[in-house]
Amino acid sequence: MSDIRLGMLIDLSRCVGCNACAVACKQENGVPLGKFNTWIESWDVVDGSGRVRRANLPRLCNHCTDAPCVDVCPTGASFHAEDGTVQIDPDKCIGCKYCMAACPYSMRWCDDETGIVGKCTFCHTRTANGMDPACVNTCISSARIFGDLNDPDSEIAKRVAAGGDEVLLAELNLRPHVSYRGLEETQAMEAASAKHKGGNVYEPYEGR
Amino acid sequence: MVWDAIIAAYLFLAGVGAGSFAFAALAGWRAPEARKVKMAGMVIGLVAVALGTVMLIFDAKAGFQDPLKFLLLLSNFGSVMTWGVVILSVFLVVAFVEILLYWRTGKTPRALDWVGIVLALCVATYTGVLLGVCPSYPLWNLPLLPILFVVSATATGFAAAELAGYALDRAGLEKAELPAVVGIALPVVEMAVAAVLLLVTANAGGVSAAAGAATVAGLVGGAWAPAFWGLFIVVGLAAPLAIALAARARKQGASALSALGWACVLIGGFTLRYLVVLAAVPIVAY
Amino acid sequence: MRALTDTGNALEPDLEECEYVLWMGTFPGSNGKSMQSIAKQVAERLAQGKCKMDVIDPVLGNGNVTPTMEGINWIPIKPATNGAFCSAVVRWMIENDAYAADLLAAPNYAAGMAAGFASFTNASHLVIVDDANPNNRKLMRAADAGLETPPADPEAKTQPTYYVVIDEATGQPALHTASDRALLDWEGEVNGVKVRTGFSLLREPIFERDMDEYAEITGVSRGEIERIAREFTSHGVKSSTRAAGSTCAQTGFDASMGFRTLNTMIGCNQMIGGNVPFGLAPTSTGDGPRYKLGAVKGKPDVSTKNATYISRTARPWQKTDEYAARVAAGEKDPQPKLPWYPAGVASDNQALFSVVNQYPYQAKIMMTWMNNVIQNTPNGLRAAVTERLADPAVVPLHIACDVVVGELAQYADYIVPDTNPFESFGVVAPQGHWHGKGAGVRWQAKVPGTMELPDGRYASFEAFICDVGRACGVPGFGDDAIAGADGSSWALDDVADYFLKAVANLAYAEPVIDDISDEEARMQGLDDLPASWKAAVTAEEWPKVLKALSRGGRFYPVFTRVGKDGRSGYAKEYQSFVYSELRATNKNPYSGTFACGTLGYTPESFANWSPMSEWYSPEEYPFAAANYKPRFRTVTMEANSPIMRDLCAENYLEISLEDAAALGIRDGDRIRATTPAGDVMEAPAMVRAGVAAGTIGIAHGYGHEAYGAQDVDIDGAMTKGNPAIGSGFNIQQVVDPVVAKDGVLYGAADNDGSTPLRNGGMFKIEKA
Repeated sequence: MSDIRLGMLIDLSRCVGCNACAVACKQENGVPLGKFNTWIESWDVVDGSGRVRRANLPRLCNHCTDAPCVDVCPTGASFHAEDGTVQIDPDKCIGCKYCMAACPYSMRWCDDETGIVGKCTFCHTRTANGMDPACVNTCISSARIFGDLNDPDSEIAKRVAAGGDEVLLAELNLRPHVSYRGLEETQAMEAASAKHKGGNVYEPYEGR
Repeated sequence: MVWDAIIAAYLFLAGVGAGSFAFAALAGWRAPEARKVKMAGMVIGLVAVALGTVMLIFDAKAGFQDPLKFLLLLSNFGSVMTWGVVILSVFLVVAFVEILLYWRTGKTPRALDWVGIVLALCVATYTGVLLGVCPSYPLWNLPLLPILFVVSATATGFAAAELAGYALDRAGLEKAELPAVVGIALPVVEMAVAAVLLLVTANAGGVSAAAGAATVAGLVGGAWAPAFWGLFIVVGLAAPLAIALAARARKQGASALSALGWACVLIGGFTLRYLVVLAAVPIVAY
Repeated sequence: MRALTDTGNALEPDLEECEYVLWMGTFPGSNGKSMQSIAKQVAERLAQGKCKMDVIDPVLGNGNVTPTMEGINWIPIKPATNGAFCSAVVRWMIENDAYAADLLAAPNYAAGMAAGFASFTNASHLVIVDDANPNNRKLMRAADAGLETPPADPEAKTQPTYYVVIDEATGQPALHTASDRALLDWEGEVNGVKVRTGFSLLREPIFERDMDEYAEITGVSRGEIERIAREFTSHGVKSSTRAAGSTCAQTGFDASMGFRTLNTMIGCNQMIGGNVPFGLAPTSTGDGPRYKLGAVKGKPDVSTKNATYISRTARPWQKTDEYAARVAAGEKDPQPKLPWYPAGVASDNQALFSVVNQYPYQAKIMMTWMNNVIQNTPNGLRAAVTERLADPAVVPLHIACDVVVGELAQYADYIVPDTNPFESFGVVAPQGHWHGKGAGVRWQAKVPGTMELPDGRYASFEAFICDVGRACGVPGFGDDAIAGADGSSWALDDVADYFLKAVANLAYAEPVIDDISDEEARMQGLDDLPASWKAAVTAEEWPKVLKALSRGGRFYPVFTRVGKDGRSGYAKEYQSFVYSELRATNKNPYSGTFACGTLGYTPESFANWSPMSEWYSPEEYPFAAANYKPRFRTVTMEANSPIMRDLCAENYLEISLEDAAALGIRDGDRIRATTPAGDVMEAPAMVRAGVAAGTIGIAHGYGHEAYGAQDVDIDGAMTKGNPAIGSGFNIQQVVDPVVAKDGVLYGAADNDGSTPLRNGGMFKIEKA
């Protein structure tokens, strides 16, 4: 294991839910229709003062240190790469979908044609060449910050240290390396609409 | 849902095979003369587990299209599925050897019977642990789901072997049959374990709370309720229990009614696997 | 619409240096123009605490109003009531003396500049308010006041118009150009004519209602209106407001006049941090330094002066030949079959209604290019309109040119294949809120996928019109079609012939750009372009043309946007109208009435200014629509993108929590919205807090019948349609009962701007 630990920080105050990241990701990674490596969940919230606001929560593989998907993979197709990311070797994947069942973030998908499982790689081909992932590159409001968490001088390390260390499903203690700023504050607000994945409803609003 | 009816069928068949093989070993000890009953139980054990394994391979599409990839299955001994591959393989080998020996020599070594029984227990347990290690589904509770699957594997495996015995050698089955209390105890225990699992799931805390509650709500009062109450509870548990109690009261041996009860057990066993796979609601990350 | 409200540069809020922006019917990061670049500018500055913003919109879009972003709020407003909201803010400003009186009193640009601003208004100009005067409702001219004007400049193309003000220093009438400061709030008699200042006329409609009434009309609380008014007026000129989508309403004039009046009242026009010029580009497709692309030798003398748009715009009814003929025939106050819009620009929506009603003249040959006016017209009646379009007796010949067979093109007799944006050329002024000067150049990034013609060209709109123009001997096509600035002449036969000359004009705009180096041309693959491109310009121009292509256009240093003393570097004479003479003098032919010349609030009305609520019961039809710009579609396009469909398959009827509860509707229920004319929209309900009460939020761009959703048979070759392209529904707005009778098809529209209403209208909602 090298000293690099790639990670992403997402500032929720900045994300406007334009979904450019989701489009860039699809184009960069050739993600099949109906599947997404990253997406944005959007819904209305009522803030503390009674004003209505629109929450946007970008989602992607959390590249956990203690990754259930890696633990359960019987063939070693899911593995931790040198840079700390979780990757899938398609040549080893048999498509048993055990990793999909094990991922508590539901971030993996199975290609209907090949049966091979896919997910966010942090655009491994780009990051291995010193570039940012496509979603980061295209994010118009710089909501997504990417870099080496182990480098204390990196922007991401500084911003994580300055309060950008909230993670999804923290209770599971999987040590994810995608963190958020403003997550708890957003989650604490009353939801007041269906939750959308992109523009599609995936969780109807049950009412107050 | 990640998995579908194919995986439910695999989990079911593995349980049936394990239970059936165990029944055959016990039957052989109790009534060596009931040869057809033992042979039937062992063959069902082998075939069911083999068939389940084939379904698993079929479901793993990327491997199915490139079978050499299955050689990689022993790469990660941290994976429960890898243990499963080992357990299933050894079980299939032992079951095959037992059948071969029984066919050729007319008997099986007691020690090997024991090995087979232990492996059968491992197969049944494994099917529960396979799901149980996934943190994403509150219903897939680690200690409880394997226990439930072992009980169900016992019930369904016994039922399958008994059905076969009933069809092939009714007299042999009478001699080899386990005490009536087993047919009464199994559904009662299964009902109890299932109840505890649902209670625990419904009251899961933290990140599992919403998904756990939604799962149980879906099962007992939602879209899955007809299958849950009708096929799992009534057909799969209550009906066999009633039939077993009636048989015991009349001190009656295997009858057509008993056969019906065993068939019901099998329907309930498949329904259980199906519901566990498809009705489980994943936790959500917000 | 701008003819009604102002003259000068087009302006947009300065997102680089603003302290406050009030967005109305446009939503940073959601549905403004170039929503993503706006979101970028806004997010950065909000996060730094450098500005504050309020968003007044019937629908909460995905955008900068996020749970944890400070300094920005969404305030729900009832659709089509922005005029009332702005009136309330103006009322507060007047009551609290919170407006730039120095600017409003400046009667001309020089006076405005001297007062520290970069604009002026006609607030102090006198308006004739005398029913007996033939010039009633007009701004008083020098002649009306008996004032002498300076001698005409024989060199000038147009002579200035002299208006009249009351000079503050002398208290006497003066030419607006002759006074440094004029009385703002004055009425009296000049030269025996009763007059009032524009500002005094503004007060009247504004003070007709009190703040509580405005709150009731808009659904925005009085406290909120006052808070916004205070905020808007607390940042000097580094504050501004912008309305966009909200102007697409029957009350569109009120919304447009509203945001302009607010900006005028604080004097932020052309001031850095306020409302600054945008979209400024050097001449490229006009008469530029190298080629006279604007002038066409032998061009017939056709203009709005001697010809009439089929859209009935740019001409009042009373100035039409038909009106004159009918009056001459003895008819008193004749009424037109369809309304006329003197302030409107060429409008495809109105052209559509003209074509299907064969009024004011029949479209014997209709040529449409990149147009899908059936899909982009929000009114109901779509089935009846398309039936007539398909009738050869109504449209004998329809030629469409497009890359897809859309809702309009499917009724064409001939379809000419066109090139897509990656296969075509264009020179485009900066869009969005980037306030630099320059122009982007689009050029063929790939060989067109259309058919190759025998002479090596590819089928496209340009190739088609060049060939038709040449064949018909139309001036401006064929040999010697284009004049070089040096007197040379050039043929026009294909797209590159025209656009590369436009790029040459751009390259030679002062200061002339450098040649591209051979090395860079090679690196960028620009040494391998078609010979026909190189032949389209001179050998001297070619390396500079390549330089412009290599940079994606021509962009001036951005610091040039900042001028002296807080003004925009691009400021030039700019006047905003507090009093719109053009509107005030437009006599409605159906009612004989005039509309108010200033900002005010008029309830939604039909063509004769009768309120909609007098035609249909607001109790029965209590909902108004907010037809907004979504993220995953444009008005007519993007449904053919599999990724966009993947991101959002359909649209919804979005209603508020209160309305849903009152109607017993749950999120996801199928519901139906019906107009008084019986047009129906049916879709799943989206029950959400992010919609104003009484509003139906509707994303546009869905519900295609064609555009790839349909099977297409071209000369026996069948292309199967994809029904997913047609998912969702298209808005069906109200029909105007004043006009749409006796077989006339006509959707309700803004009586000033001619825009069919996307927002507002009357609907009832029930479970499907």
